[in-house]
Amino acid sequence: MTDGDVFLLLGVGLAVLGTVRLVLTGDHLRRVVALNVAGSGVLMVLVAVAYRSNPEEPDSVLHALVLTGIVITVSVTGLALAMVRRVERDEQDRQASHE
Amino acid sequence: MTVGLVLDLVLVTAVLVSAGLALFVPGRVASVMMFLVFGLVLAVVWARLGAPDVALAEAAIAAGVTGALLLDAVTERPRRGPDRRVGPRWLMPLLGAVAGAGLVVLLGAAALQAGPVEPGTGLGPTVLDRTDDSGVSHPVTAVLLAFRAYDTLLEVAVLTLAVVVVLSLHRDGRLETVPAPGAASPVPDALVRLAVPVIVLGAGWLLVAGSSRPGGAFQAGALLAGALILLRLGGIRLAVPTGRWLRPAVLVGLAAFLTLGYVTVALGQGWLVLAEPWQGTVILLLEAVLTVSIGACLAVLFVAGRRPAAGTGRGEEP
Amino acid sequence: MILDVLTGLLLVAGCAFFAVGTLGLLRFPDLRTRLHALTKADNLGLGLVVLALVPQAGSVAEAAKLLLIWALALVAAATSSHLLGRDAPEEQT
Repeated sequence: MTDGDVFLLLGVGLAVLGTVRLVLTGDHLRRVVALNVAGSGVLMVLVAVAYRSNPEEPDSVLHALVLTGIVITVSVTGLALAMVRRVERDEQDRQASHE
Repeated sequence: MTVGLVLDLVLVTAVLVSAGLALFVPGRVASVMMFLVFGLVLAVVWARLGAPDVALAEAAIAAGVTGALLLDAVTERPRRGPDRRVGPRWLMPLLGAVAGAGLVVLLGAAALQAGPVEPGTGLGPTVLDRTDDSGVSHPVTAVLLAFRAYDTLLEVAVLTLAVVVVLSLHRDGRLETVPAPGAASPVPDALVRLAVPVIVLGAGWLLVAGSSRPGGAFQAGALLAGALILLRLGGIRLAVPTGRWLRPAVLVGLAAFLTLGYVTVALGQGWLVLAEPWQGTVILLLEAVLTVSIGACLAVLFVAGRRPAAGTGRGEEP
Repeated sequence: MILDVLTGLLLVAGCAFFAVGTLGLLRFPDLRTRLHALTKADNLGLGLVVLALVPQAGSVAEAAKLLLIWALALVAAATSSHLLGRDAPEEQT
């Protein structure tokens, strides 16, 4: 097993850990965190594949793909957090008006 | 070699521990804090794997901007009520562990089976050969803005769309109702005065450097967003556009990219195909516009997550 | 050669400060004493590590960038610990 393989498996591990947590937690905000961890795992698989094929000059197409992935992740995170915060505010306000 | 092995081992352990804590530590605040640590460790991993562009993006966007978004969300509501639990206490963790282990084995085997690509094959060498034709000398920038400009256009579109949807959660799609903090006290004010010029300088450098070495519009845009957010939190209300300039600032990047596409078609070169001798200049100009727009978009995402002043932003309760 | 030894010594000293600071973070009872441990030890630790790397830098510009990192980290750490210390509620033990 090479060092590229180690990071490849680490990426798989992160993606699975994040996905499992994403499914199992009921806390919306922590779901966003879990989604980010899972996404990082997928990106690590891509970077590790680029590194494995040529450690000296990794594939720049894959790196560009990962850059795209990071920007998409932050877009999704911003959108998700805005919605989570809105939902929780509404829950809180509803509780307050009941009391 | 052995020193490298030890460092790799430390790195892998740090990734696993920080990710595990971010996912499973009790308490939201601790989870977000550990996620920030995770992001920084990840940036080191990218550098280790020979991906400096990704490392910069991770530090600026994933750890930086995402960190600001998460921290702001978690400080508004640091706690949450207990989860509704299905079945006995041990059931869900057990199911999760079994399913997770199965997935790791399956996906891990598949990923390893994908086999090491032979050196000298794949798209990497082709890109390296053709980078000189693209008008920039850094291969990742060449892929992003010359060879696969289409992908980058859609990526900017996704970011813009996310901002538009977030704005739609506010009344009239505007942000003037979100209260801005007042003037900062002396110490944070000094930080803002010191840090913002350095950050903006860094963003400019990343933008220009992107043509020939790691860097580029997205990293520079994230830094710019950081500077704008700092300014707004430091009491400069106008730093992040919220009123008349909000929509132009958010849309200008996508608009410039699309315009470029139509111009290239009109010139008969084909969609987003750039030719000598202007391509390097055009790419840099486009990246400059994108930097401003990405910076504005990310800063707007931050501001739009905050609570509008009572009775103005949200629709009236029935 | 002498530079390498200097680097090694400074690195060890820097790591020692980090270790002591972390120990303080773990052992001290409340927020303000923990901040005290962290900021002093970590700023010095980071400073020593940066100073250790300066002789290894290839150029003056590289060395200057390393020092700039230290300066920025100092400013950020000072500000954040000031804010934490100021806004922390009076300690509930």
